[in-house]
Amino acid sequence: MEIRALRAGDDLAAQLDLSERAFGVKNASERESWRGFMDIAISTGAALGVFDDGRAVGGAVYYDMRQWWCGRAVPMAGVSGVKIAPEDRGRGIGRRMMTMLLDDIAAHGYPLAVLYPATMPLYRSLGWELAGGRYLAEVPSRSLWSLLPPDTAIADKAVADASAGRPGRPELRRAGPADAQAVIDVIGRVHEALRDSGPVTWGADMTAIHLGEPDRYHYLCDDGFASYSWQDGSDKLFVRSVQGATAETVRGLWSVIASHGTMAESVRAWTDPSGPLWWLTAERDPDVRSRSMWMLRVVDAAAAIAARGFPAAVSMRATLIIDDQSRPANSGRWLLTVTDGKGELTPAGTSAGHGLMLGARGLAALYAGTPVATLRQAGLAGGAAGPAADAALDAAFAATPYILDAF
Amino acid sequence: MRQWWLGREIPMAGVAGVKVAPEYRGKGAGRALMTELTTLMAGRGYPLSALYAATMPIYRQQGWELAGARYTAKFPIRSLRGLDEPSTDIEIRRAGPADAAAVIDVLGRVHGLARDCGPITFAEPVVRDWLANQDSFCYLADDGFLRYQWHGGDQELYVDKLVAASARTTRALVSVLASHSSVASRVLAQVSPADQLWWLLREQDGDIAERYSWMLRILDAPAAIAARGFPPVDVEVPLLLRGETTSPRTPLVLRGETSPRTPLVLTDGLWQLSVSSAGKARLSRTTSPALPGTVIELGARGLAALYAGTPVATLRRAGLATGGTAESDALLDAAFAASSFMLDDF
Repeated sequence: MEIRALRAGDDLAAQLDLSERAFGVKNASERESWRGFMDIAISTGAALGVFDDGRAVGGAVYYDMRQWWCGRAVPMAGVSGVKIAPEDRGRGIGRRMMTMLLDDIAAHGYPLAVLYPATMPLYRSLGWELAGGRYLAEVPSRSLWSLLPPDTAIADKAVADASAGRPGRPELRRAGPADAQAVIDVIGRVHEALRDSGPVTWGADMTAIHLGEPDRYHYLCDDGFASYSWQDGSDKLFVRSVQGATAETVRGLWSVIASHGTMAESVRAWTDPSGPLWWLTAERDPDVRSRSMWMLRVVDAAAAIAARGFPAAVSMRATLIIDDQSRPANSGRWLLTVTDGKGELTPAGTSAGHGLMLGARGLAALYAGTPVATLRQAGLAGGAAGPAADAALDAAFAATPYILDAF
Repeated sequence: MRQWWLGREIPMAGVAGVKVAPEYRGKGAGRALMTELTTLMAGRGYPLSALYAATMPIYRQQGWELAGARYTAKFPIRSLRGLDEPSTDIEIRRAGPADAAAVIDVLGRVHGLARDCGPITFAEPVVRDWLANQDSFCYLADDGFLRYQWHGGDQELYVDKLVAASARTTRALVSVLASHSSVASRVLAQVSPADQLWWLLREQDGDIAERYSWMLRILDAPAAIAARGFPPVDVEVPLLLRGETTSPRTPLVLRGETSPRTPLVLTDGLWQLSVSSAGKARLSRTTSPALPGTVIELGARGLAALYAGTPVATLRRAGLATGGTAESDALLDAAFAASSFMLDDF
């Protein structure tokens, strides 16, 4: 059994076969995108293959991403395509492969790693934990035809203009592969301005592949981006992204989506669970169809805390006693200090008193804003830190993280 | 009702059964009715009112706004197997009408300790009624409560309360549900979006399948702020609150009521929100001159959504807030941060 980085020249057809046996058969354009992503992962040494006597029996990759946490971008390894040949499952190959992948992610300096689990026990045993969701909303497209005007109680000129039926429409243009960097920059600026937690951006080469997919439509403006495609023929519209920093942009982008209501009966959208969509329709029409949760691994605790944004209003100190079996460098007594919107994790002396006890899983869930009370009830946190300390930690990490991408 | 807001309970008027005869609709009767009802609730001193809307424009006109949701999760009942810990030292007993006060006490303690935002407890007579209901099964522990019923014949269990303050009690209550996996195949459960259930289940074989939003009305802003729990943050932010849309008109005189009702608290004008590191806040009138545009401006709807934890960036993009600065937005988000939910329908 050999586990090693895939190299240019390795048999990609064998990897595609493993992928289709594990996740379903791809169509021609999906295969082309898959090859593009594999080329990128292989060229950066971020694709692992497992070989048994030369036969490909497993593989996994990670992509170079940025994940926004309270408005700041943290380098994140987006783990994807974790697969073992059906006839070779149950032999412990997956665990050995993921252990190596995690070591590799750490060696490349990523503070965070994220994945959508097909099964959870393996990832939990390596310190991943449920952290946030991808929320799929559905709304009848006619509900989007006339969005609710701004509240007349607040007398702002822009509001008055908009309520008179003349919303300032942003200057939209179609975006293609050549706009990859512009799209990444715009989305990043939006997440920073909104202090978002959870959403991700991909590297420019991967974004270019997304923007080149033949069945997707993309629109870009100075402070917003939309991406969507048809679904079920022309019965539905599937929206991967409507993100905008201002009321005008959000309305402008949704009005493009709404214009397809002539054909599509309903719109399905990956969306922020507390984003503006819910407040923009006159009636209670948008509903959550599903929530798929993703898991987070805090690979390097000190670096992850230092890179994350925190609410500027929070000023706190707490002792964290971390026991991380598979990344022992995270283990120990730490002093967490949050002030002026920044956090720091420094080694604490043994005299630091009581602290919150966390394993790698509890640390990941806390980082993502899971209330400490939930962690305690789920058996992911312990120790007598006290209600005041729990409340301060909740205030520091408060978030309902979401992702608008699949990987 | 009492509604829990970050560990503290607030008197809340839960509006239900708003109806107009079909042949009288569209003539303003509903609006007149809600105006009187709002005045009545405010006059009785409720700082907050909440409702599940069949249609929203009428409530929005009167200052209600979407604030939180009731989340229903759906998963195979067999997922609960193996989580249960039928521990002998946790006492679980069937609850009946005589336990109404104990049930309210346990629900309140659980929501308080969890610093939950949004869930409610009903008054004792209501709880006594639903504990007497033969169709639902209720179990009580020292720090937990479970209520469920059959749903869709014997194929599903509908769980409207599975709350506990400790991991051990959660598991013990789960074991009662899991025992039904011999007959039922699915569980529908009212959950918090950050419910411990997600972190207890071995696999992600079910998740939130429905979200039903509720609306909130702040009837008395200073009282609602003073009564709410806040995180331990130091926040000073001026707020420009705009116009009550509901003005008290000829008061409705109820039989047997003699004390004059006070009209709605007028909120129009400049206020200062002060949150202290003790987790309490105050909303007070201020006259300090501020530069135009530097103060965030909210109507009753924006205030209600903010109170329930809606990010200010969302309020701005929905046209419910204007003015202010990026710095004050961040302070307000830290003060009100919440994913508000309820586990009850009314």
